[in-house]
Amino acid sequence: MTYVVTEGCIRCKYMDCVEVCPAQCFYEGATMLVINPAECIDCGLCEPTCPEEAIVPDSYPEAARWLDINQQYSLVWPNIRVAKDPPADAEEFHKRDNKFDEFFSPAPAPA
Amino acid sequence: METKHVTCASCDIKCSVLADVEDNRIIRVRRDPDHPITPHSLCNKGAAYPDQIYHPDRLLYPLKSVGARGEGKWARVTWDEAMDEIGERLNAIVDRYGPESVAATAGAVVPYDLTRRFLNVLGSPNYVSGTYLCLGNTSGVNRVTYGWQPFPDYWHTKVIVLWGHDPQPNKWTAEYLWIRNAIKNGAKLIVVDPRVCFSAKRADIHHRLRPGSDAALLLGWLNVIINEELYDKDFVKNWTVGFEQFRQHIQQYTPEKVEEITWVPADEVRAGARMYASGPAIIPWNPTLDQVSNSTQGLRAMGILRAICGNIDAEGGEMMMGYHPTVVTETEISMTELLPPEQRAKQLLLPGAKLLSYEFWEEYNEASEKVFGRKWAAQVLAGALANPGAVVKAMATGEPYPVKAFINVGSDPVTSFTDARHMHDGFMNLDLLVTNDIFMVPTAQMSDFILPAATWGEKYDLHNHWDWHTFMIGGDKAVEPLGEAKDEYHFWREIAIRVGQEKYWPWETQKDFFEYRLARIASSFEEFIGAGGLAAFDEHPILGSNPQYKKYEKTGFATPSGKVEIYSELMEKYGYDPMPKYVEQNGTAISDPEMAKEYPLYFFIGSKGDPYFQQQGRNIASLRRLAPEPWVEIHPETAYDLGLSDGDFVCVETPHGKLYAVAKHSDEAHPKVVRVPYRWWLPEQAPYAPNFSGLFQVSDNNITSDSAAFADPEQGIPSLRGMMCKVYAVERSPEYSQALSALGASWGGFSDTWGGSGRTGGTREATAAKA
Repeated sequence: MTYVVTEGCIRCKYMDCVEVCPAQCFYEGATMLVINPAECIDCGLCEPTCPEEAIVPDSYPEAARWLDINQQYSLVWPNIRVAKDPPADAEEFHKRDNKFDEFFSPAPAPA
Repeated sequence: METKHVTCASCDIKCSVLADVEDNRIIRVRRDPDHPITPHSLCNKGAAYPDQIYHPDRLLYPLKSVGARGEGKWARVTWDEAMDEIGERLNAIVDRYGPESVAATAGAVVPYDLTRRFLNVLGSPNYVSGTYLCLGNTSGVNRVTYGWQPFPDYWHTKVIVLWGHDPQPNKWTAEYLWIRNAIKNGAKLIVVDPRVCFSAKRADIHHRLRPGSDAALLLGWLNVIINEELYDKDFVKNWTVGFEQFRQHIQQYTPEKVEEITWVPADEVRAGARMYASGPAIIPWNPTLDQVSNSTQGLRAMGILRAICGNIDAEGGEMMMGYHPTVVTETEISMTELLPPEQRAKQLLLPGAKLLSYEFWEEYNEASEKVFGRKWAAQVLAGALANPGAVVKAMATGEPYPVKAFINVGSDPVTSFTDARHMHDGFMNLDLLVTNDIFMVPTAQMSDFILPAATWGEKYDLHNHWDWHTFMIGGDKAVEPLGEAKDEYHFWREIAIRVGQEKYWPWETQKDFFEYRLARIASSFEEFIGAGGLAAFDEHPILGSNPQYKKYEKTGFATPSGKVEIYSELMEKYGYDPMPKYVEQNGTAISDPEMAKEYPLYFFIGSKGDPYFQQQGRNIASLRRLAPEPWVEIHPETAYDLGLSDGDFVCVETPHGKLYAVAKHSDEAHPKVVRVPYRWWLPEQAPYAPNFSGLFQVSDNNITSDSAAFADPEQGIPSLRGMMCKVYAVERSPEYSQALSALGASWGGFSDTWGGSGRTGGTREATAAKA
């Protein structure tokens, strides 16, 4: 049905996924990207590109808590079709635990 | 809402997926997280299934042609009306011309065993299948070396070789996931591919080899492995014949010599060989070695490589699974034993090419009976395959005898097989052409009768990749078929009972038929599905409680000698090389340098860059949007020298013909090699004669030859890889452009991933530069 972006994206935002997505279904928040589940065509091309391994198919157990977040925020954040540079401090957040509680922001990406 | 466990047949990997059904309507297809064989496996083709099953262009009612062949004048009839007339006409044809005048096929995702059963009972040896140059011929040559076609142990292997094979998240997804998991568990990856493909970017070693020179690289690896004594000495000593002769023979294939032939540097040849020999290793099946005119040599070398490195029927290597002990197998259903010897002898082949003949297959019966308890053993139901070029020649000319009828199930032979003009002429000359399919593809357009087919969610499934792996996987029916569409069992039985075969088709429905096959393990199909839909057994190496490897220690190998035949006396008896050697294909820049002056590029037909499986998907919006036009992949520098911009419309021309496509720049391409798209038809273009949906514009079979001069001499297959071509800019015809625009408009536009953005496989810099 869809892939979902999970915790690993937060504050890293490497955006290798955007580069390969043929359905333009990524949406950019201030601290992470999400996938619009209705637009994702299940091609799977994004999943292996993420250095954080943050993208998983919806059938994985860890996807469960992220499906709503992807659903909800893809409706309000701007669509991103071209990858940008990741934030300058992305490396500091590589493979860190519990990024959601500390760092998640509901704000869209700055214009 | 109900959730059904179904088998996706959007490609022939056949992932087990979930279908959510409400009011007899499929609302979505999703991943099955719990399936033991293909967990979490789904791709965008399977996900797009609701668009296929409910497509407005689906064939839902039986049609009879009431005009000239290919004219497109149809009358709707009932199944009974169609079948009564088909039966009458078939009986008349068989009476007059003999059963050999009836040929038939089954496409990649529909049952093969039923077509074979019908033909064997009828008495016709002319079963035609795409497997003749894809997996089926592999099984034939593997049989020569070790009597079976093994299945890789992805679950325990330590080295994986992807040879011109590139499974990806949405292409052979199940296999991609097995490979990905193996690599996560520490397996090394060697990729052999002229392209810097998806897998190559993740590989430990990448050999960028010249297409068509594969056999030389394999022989080079063998040279290194034998000379450096990296092979399994005990296995070689106890279980092979011909090793010492082969050791002498292999000396000529030094890495330096191999470098000259293959473009792969000598030290890389050594590194690849050593890595292969370093651990239990697998070389999953690939189409590449099946589609060259030195295929037999290459597949023999590959088999010997597996065997001498101790990978045969070893954990982490390649498993000789054998037949399922309690479920009735597809091989049995085929009933090859019913085909009389005088009919077998009439099989249409290229002269001299007997490796896929009944005659050659028969040579293995004694050994098969000893090891597998049965004669006429084969995987992929490919023990003997008629040559499509020979069959259409018989259709068109009556030589050596007429073929007057063709029954086409889930396939489009006119666009499938080399060469398009011969295919067209042969099929247009038939007396009777019957098609069972879902869309009006070119062969359907030429048919006398079209019977609407059920898609995969509308029928039951039981598969084990044609006895290639033993465990059987079942799938439920999600919804009743739309309109008057029926499954293949129904189709064949309706014909069969009208031509005197009723006693061979006693089961009334597909479900009854599957229940017969499963009778020793389940009392109903529901019970089988309810218990997980998987039939394994104790000795099974992956799923069994008591896995058995090295079964040959008890039974020997199913070859005449009972051992792995590095040297094959049987090949020698047929006048073929008893040991593999390197033979340059005809029609390459090396074998025909004069001609190559005009055709300076190498090409191969293949590489699943498209979001399609074979011919499917061109009329599905979510798929066609991603790749609206057939595209030729070309290296940007090569294109620059030829004056070809990214997105230019081009002609690919070979000495045999032309096709048209869009040029796509990619630095994944080898500078000397272009990738040619395959299995294209254009559903938006005029169907029927003479255009047949763009058959002579875009089919890859316009540029290859079915003549013996370019065929593998033992198998008779054509070459699709490593030959010569030129590429130049042309204009799209107004008809082409208008039809394509109209299609795009009807779907709200194509995505902007095409038009040279380089998005699919592009680089961040390239995309940013264009933004």
